[in-house]
Amino acid sequence: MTQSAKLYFEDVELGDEIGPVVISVTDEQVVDFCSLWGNPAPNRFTDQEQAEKVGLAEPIVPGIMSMALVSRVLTDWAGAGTVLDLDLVFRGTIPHNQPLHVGVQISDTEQGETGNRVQCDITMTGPVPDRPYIIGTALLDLPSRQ
Amino acid sequence: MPTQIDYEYDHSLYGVEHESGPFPVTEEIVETYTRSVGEDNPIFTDRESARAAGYSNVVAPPTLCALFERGELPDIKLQFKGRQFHGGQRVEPRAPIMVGDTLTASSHLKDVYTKTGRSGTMVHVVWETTFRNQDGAVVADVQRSQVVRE
Repeated sequence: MTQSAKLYFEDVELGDEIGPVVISVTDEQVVDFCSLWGNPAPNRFTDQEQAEKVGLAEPIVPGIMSMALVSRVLTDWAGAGTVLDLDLVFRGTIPHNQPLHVGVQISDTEQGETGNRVQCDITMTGPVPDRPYIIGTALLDLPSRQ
Repeated sequence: MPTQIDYEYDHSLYGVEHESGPFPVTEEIVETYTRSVGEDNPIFTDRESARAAGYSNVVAPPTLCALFERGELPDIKLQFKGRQFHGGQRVEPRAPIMVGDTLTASSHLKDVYTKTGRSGTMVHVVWETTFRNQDGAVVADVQRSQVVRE
């Protein structure tokens, strides 16, 4: 896969941590995303009343939008074209307009015929670090300097 | 393969592919997507930068295809009612998706299984979708887990 190199395999080591990168999602961003997704506002992601109707305390960030945010953190760090696999579990509802802490830790590296693979553990947390909104893994393929 | 489950649903859906699309990947879609998630890598936003990096056009961010995965899928007639939520998502990009591509999707029921925890029993319904571009090349595999909690 063609890559825009920001990071090389030789730059990373097992146990390295990236972040936490702090991001947040505005109401307007969620409305934009939902319109694209074929789920126009108002809905439980954009509207307080609609959210309460389905048992939510407030509008939430859609799961696939939160996945896009994690993907952004990875491509900001490693470059476009590096993500081979992103596997996320949504464990909690994600609020708008609040700091979201995305942490990435390298759990394995392997250089071989299939490429320069970097396995990462991923979390997204809010104010309570041990109650993550998202946990998961990513597999990246980084270019080599060799 | 399906795992043991305590709740009824339509098992005949296993092994059946459900086709959807076409999904044109337009400049407007990629632009709105990148703006809404704050993605500013020039490969995803600027044609000249994408070309300079070896791509033929602006590249879609890796998880954009998941937008299209939400197409109409059959009702599995699950005999377990409760609150539904999106429990997880997996995206495996196989080849770049670019502005100007037209994708089609082929989805099948991958698994239905239960988990019981402190909050009660949950049924996970997992659909797997393969996206192909206009040349028939596989560009991404996506798994979506929908959860029903009692």
